[in-house]
Amino acid sequence: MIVSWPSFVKRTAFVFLMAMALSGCSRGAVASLHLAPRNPVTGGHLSMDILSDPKTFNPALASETSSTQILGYLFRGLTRESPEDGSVKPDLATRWRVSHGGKRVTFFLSRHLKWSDGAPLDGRDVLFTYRDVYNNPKVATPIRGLLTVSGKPIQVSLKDDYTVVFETSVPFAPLLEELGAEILPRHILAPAVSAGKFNQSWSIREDPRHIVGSGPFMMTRYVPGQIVSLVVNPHYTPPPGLQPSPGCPLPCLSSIDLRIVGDANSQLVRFLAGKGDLYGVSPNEMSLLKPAAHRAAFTLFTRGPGLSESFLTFNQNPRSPVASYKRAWFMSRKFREAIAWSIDRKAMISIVENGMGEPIYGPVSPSVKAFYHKTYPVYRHDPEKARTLLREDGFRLKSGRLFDASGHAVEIVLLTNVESPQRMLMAQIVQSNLREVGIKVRVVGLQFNMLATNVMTSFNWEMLLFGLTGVTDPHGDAAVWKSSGFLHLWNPREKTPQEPWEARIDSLFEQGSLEMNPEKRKKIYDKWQEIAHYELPMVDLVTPDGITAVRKTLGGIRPSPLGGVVPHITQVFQKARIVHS
Amino acid sequence: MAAARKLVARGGLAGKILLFLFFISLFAEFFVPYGYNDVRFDLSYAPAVVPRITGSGIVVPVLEQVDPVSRSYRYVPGKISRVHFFCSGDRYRLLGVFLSDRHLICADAPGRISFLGSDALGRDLFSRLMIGMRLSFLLSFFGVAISFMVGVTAGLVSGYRGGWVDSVIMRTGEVFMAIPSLYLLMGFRALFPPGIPSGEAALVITGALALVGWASLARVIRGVTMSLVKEDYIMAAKSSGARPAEIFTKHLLPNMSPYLVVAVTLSVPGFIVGEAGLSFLGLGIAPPHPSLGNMLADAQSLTVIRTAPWLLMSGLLVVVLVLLFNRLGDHIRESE
Repeated sequence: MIVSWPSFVKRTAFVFLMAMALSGCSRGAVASLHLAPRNPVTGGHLSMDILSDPKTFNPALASETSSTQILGYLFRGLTRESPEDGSVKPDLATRWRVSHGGKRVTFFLSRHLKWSDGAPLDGRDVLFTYRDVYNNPKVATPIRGLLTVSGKPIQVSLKDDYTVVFETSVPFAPLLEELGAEILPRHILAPAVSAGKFNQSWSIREDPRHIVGSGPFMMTRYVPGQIVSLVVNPHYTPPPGLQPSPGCPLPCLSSIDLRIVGDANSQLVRFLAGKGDLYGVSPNEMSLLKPAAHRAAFTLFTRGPGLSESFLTFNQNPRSPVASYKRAWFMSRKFREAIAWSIDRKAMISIVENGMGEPIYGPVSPSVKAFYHKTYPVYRHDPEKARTLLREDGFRLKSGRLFDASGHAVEIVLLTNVESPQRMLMAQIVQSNLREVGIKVRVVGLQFNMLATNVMTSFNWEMLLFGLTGVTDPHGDAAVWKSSGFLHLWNPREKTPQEPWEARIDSLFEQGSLEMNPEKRKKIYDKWQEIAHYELPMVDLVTPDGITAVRKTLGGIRPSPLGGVVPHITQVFQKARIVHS
Repeated sequence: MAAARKLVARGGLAGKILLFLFFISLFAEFFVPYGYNDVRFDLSYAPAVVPRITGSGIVVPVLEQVDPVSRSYRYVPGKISRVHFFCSGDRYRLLGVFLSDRHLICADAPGRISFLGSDALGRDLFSRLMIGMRLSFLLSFFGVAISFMVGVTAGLVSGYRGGWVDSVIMRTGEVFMAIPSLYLLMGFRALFPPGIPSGEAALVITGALALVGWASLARVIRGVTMSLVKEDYIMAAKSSGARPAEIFTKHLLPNMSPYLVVAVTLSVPGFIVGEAGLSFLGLGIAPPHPSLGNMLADAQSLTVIRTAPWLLMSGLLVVVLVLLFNRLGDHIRESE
C-alpha cells in the first residue's frame, strides 16, 4: 500500500468493535444495576459528564456552556429565573422595589451574606461588579450589551451597604431578568481591575481554590481533560423562599464531580454502565436508552418541546457577493413562503428526532407560554401550494426544474455545520423537499468556524440551515430580529432597515422593552410574531423534545419545560446507592 | 491490451471477483433497484426486505413503521407486492450517457426490495453501495494512472540521468513521503473551496491521492532503472546511438513490467482507503452522492449502529475490496 491510515483504520476498527459489542452481545454492553438504601440522606455525591474543558473561570468573560455550566454552581446574581415559568425570583437580593415608572429598581440585600472565603458580601461588591466590571469598556464581557438600554449603560449607585439602586434613562421591561448576572468579589478582583489585568484574571491556569464565589459549591480541583471537582461552600446562604428537601440542609449534596468526556458516544456508554447521575438525551438516542432504562437504573424525563430550534434562512444582504438574481429570489416574500410550504416537518421529526419533537412555524417556541402566539396558521407540507406561489411570483416549471422570470435555473447552495449529523440529515430532507417544487439544492457541510466566517464576515452564502438556543423573554432575541443586530443573519448590522417590515419589527422591539405592563407587552410581541410569520426571513423547522435521563438514586428532581430536571442544585440529594451485579 | 489480458488470465479468483464487482458497479443503475437519492421518509433505517418465492410468483412483503422512537418495523399482514425483472423504474443515464429506465429487478408499489436495509432517509443501502463502489473503482484507477505516470517518469529520469537531476527529484519525493499522508491529503484538499460539487471534489481527491502516491513508486523505479542501466544491452543501445526515450520505452519499461503490474494492483487499495478516509472526514464526496467513506460516516454513532448495523456494510466492502486487490497482487507476483 502506498499510504497508511492509522486514524481511519482505528476508527473503522472502533466502529466494528462497537457493532459487535452492541448487536452481538447487547446484554453484556449494559451493566445490570441495582439500588440499595443509603443512610443518611445528606451529604451525597453527584457526578456528571461534560463534553469539553472550561475556557475560563471568570464569570464576566465566560460565554460558552462548558464554562458557564461550572460557574453556575459557584456564582449567583441578584435575581434568578424560575425554571417553571421563567419568572424572576430573588437570589442574593431578598426583595426589590420598582419605582419612577419602571426607570428605577432598588435591591435590598440580606445582611448575612458571605463569600466562600468567609469575607462579607454586600452592596459594595454589587457596585464593583456592575460599575467596574460589566460597565467597564476595558473588560471584554458579553454581558455589557445586555445592560445597555437605548444606547446608555444602566447607572448603579449605593444607598447604603445593603441597598443598591439601578437607574435607566427609559423604562426597560427585561431589566430584572438581566440583573441575574453573577456578582463578583470586590476584595479579590478589584486589584486586577485597577491594574487593567481583569481580562487575564481567573483564567483556567488559576489555582481553582482561589476562585471565590457565593454559590452553593466551590471548586477544589481541576485537571485539564479529566475532571472538575466541587465541594459544598460552608458560607452559603440559600436564597429566600427556596424549600429544602426533607431532612436535608441547602445544599444537600456535599460534592459534585464533573468529568470531562469529550465524545458523546463515550458519555452514552459511560452512563449506560452506571457512571454519572444525569445525562442530556438527544431524541435519536432514545432507541438505545429506552430499552436499557430498567437495567441501568435510570428514568427518562421527557419535558416537551425545548427552547432550541432549527431554521432555514436566506441571504438578503446587499453587501454579499451572491449573484443579484439569486438575491432577488431570497428578497421575494412569496418565494420564502413557497419554501415554508415545501418543507416536510413531520418527516424531519420522525427521521431526525425519532418522532420526539414539535414542528414550529414562528419565532417563539411553544414552550414559552407567556409570549407564544397561538393563532397563526401552520405551514403544512404542501408542495402544490408552494408551486402555485412560485408561479404567482413569476417562476416557471420546465420539465421538473424551476426557472425564474429571467430564465435562470433555481439552484441554491445550502450551508450547514458538518459537526451536527442531525443538521446534515435535515439539510438532505430540505434538499429532497425542494426537489419536489423544482428547486435544485446542493448541501454543503462546513466546519463551524468556517461556516461562521462565511455567514457573519464574508456574507458568502445563499441559504443556511442552522439552530439557535431560544430565550424565554423575546427581548433576548433582539440580536436576531433588530435590523442592527449581529445575529440578524439574513442581513446583519444594517445601518437602516432595508425593508419596511424590518423597520416595524425594530420599533416593536423598542416598544416591547419599554412597556412594563405584561399584557400590553405580550400584544406587542404578538405583532412581531405575526410579521415574522408572514415575512418569513427565517423559515422555522422543528424543535426537539427536551429529554433527560436521571439515575434512580437521585432525589430533588422535578422536570420543567424551561429548566431541565433540576429545579435548584441545592435541593438535589442521593436517596440510594448503586450496586453493580 | 495484452497486459490487461495477462492480468485477467493471471488474476486468479480474486481477479475474477474484482472484475465482476467492477462490471456490476459500472452498470450499477441497471443492476440495482433504486437511485442513490431515492428517499422514502417513512422507511428511515428500515431493515432488509428480500424477495421470496410463493405460489403466486416472486413477491416482497410490505414494511410499515410501528414506532418511530425505537425504529421498529413490521410486515403489513396480508400485503405483498409482485417483483418484476427487466422492468421500468427510476430514470437514469447509463454510463452517464444513455437515458434509460430499465432495472434488473423492481417491485410494485408500495413494496420495496431492499437487500441490505435502508439508511436514515430511507434510501436503499444496496443501491447506494453499488453506485458508491463504482466511484471507489474509478477514483482509484484514475489516481493510480496519474501517480504511475508521474512516478514512473520521475523514477526513470532520476535513475537514468543520476547526478543533480536524481538528487532534485528524489529529495522532492522524500519531502512528500515525509509528511504524513493524511495531512498532505487534507492540506491539498484545503486548497480548494469546501463547497465544490461532488464531481469536482472527486477530481480533487484523485489529484490529492496521486500527489501522495507517486513518490514511493518513483523511488523503486529509480532503483530498478539504476541496476538495469548497468546491463550490457543498455550499454549497447546507448553506444549505438539510441535516444533516452527509446531506451525507456524499448528496454527499460518492458524489463520492469512484471514489477509494475504487481505495484499497480497493490497500490489500488491505498486509493480506495484514501477516498473513504477523506469522505469519512467530510472532506471528500458530499452527501447525497454516495461513497464508501461518507456512507460509513453515517454509521459513526452508537445509536445508529444499534438501530441500523447494516450501515457498516460500506466499511466491510472497503475491507473486502482492499483484501481482493492485495490478493490479486500477490497472485500475480507468485505466478511471475
